[in-house]
Amino acid sequence: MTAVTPAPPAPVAPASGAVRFGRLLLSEWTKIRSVGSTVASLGLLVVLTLGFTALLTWLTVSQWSKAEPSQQRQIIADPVSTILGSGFQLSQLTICVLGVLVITSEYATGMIRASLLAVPRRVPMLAAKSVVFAVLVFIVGELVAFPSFFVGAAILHGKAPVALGEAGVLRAVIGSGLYLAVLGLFALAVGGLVRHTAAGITGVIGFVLVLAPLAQLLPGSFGKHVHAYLPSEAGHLIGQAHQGPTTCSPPGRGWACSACGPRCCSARRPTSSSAEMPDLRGSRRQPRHQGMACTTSPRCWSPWRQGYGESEAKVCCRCSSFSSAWPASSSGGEGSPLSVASSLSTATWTCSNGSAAPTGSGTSWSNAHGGGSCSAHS
Amino acid sequence: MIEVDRLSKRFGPVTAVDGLSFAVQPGRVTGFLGPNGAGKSTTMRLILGLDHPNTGTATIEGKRYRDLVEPLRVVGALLEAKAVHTGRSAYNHLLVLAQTQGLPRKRVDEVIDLVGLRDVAHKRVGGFSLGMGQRLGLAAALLGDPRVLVLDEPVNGLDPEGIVWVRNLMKYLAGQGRTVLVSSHLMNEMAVSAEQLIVIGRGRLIADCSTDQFIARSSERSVLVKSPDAARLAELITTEGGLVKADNDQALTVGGLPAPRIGELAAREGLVLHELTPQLASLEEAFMELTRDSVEYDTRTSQPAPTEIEAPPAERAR
Repeated sequence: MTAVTPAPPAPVAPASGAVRFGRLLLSEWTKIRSVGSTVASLGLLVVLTLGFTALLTWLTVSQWSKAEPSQQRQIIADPVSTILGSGFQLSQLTICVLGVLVITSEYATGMIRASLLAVPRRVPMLAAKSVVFAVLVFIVGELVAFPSFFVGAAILHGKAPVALGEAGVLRAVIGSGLYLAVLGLFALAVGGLVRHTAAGITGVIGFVLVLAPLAQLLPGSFGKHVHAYLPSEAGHLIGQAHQGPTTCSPPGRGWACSACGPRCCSARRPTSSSAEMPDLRGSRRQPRHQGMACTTSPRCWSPWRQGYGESEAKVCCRCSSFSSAWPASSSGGEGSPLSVASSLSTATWTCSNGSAAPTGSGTSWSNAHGGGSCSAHS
Repeated sequence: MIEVDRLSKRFGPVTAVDGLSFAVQPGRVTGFLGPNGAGKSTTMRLILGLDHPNTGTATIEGKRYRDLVEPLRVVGALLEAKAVHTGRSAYNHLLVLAQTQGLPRKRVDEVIDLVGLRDVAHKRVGGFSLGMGQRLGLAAALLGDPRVLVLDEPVNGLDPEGIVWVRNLMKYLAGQGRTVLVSSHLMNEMAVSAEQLIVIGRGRLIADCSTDQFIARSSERSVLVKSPDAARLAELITTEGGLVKADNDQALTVGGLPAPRIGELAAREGLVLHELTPQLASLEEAFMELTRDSVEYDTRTSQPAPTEIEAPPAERAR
């Protein structure tokens, strides 16, 4: 029982970087598919999303006569928001948990040592893990988003008919899956930073669920600013068919980026103490936003927001862009902090009226928006 | 070939490894010994790039671990702590590692058969016994058919059959010209499996020599004599310049005189001998003698260490 058969000889020339990264992707895929928590979390995501989308849209329909006329108008104006907003708000928690677990379970079980012995350089391993996880969540997210939409649309059909072909609807449905992927990356990044399952999950869920209502309690316009930057706000906005130009680039991506950055830095040091950790607050500092404004009717103001800084700025309930009084001191004069994330990405998004907005094209986009989505619900 | 050059690692105020230098040659099993807290595991972690040294270098075949392109094809490592996701099957664990190195699935099956985990290959690792976990760790170490093996306490938790198997496996691998560095606190295990010993204490090198040399260097040779005329024999030996300690009224431990000389003395006087045994210090005793001053967790401050107890003092401190 002592015979050792030799392994296949290593290739004469070492594999190129691309080939090695491909192997890492394959390995990370094996990792993620071979543990129960992945199957459980994604299964729960499907069940919760479909179940709650059906339940909540059915409740909306059954309670239709008791709803306020303004509420009814809102639902009719943007039914896809009602459909996607219901199930995903709850089921996104499964992605928060899975995202954290994907990385912290390695630290908790000691698997990270085996991983690092196989791949001594951490950044490629973390990159491969992030890519595999994000793609998996995106695919599953889309596989959930479309059935959810069809189920919800069928239930809501009598009161607020909506079809996939309508302006902004397809984008909102695809965007919901994308939001889950970005949220998952954010959770994975936080997990990679804290390296502790319970702390990571608590942190991410607290961030997504608890911080949003808390931020609204902050006095003055301060809470509004904070709220606009939260990742949950990105998910809320991307699930709408009609929204402001500023939401074309969800700030959630900014969050994922800002959390991934220090994670990679800290990953370089296997025994990172708190003193060695990069300053997270520093990397979260957002660049200045581009000025954009929303042309809306007064009816559109969100009721709860009116309490904060009403005198200086107003927020559109649909698109979260701000009225003309929004910080005059900033470059461009007007706009929403939501737009800042756009500078973190070079992606081009198609907005509700069908025109493409390259990031940074503030003025022209603002004009296009003015004649498009927001006026639709004014 | 593993080379460690003036390696130091501090954890806050504690210096775990202190200017350590040694080389592990291919072709033989090299034992890595030291009391608990001596810095064995830290040194191995430094060699494997899991920790960064404060000063000095550790290289494998001339390269730092993190510079190896396909590390599992060069170095196979078994770490003392478990390094397996408990929710994954043994097969998938090995597959994950194999895929990072571009090794085929066939190789995973081969190492599973090699370590005898075929029946449980698709079961969750979380349900494995300590011994099965060790076998899985060995399978992972052998996956890439590495030229260098770094094994931290490989026989921990194995049954006697498993211990013999690991011992033979290490000798076999070293016989193929591979470099094998194996740490253990089981001195007797090292005595039978390692040809070369590296002994450290408090992070410093105490000895780097062959196992035979190590025992010879630090053993106090003595002879056990049993005779019905023990008292008479003791007198004779003392007059010949030997040191006698009476164990009981029929047994003596004699120092300073070789066994043949004692036999000749007894024959000359016509004394009956029941036993005449040269006593060689075991590796365990030699080890305890050498590391006496460098035991990190010393139990002797509270109670005198009875020398007949098998485990080294540090073991009991656990």
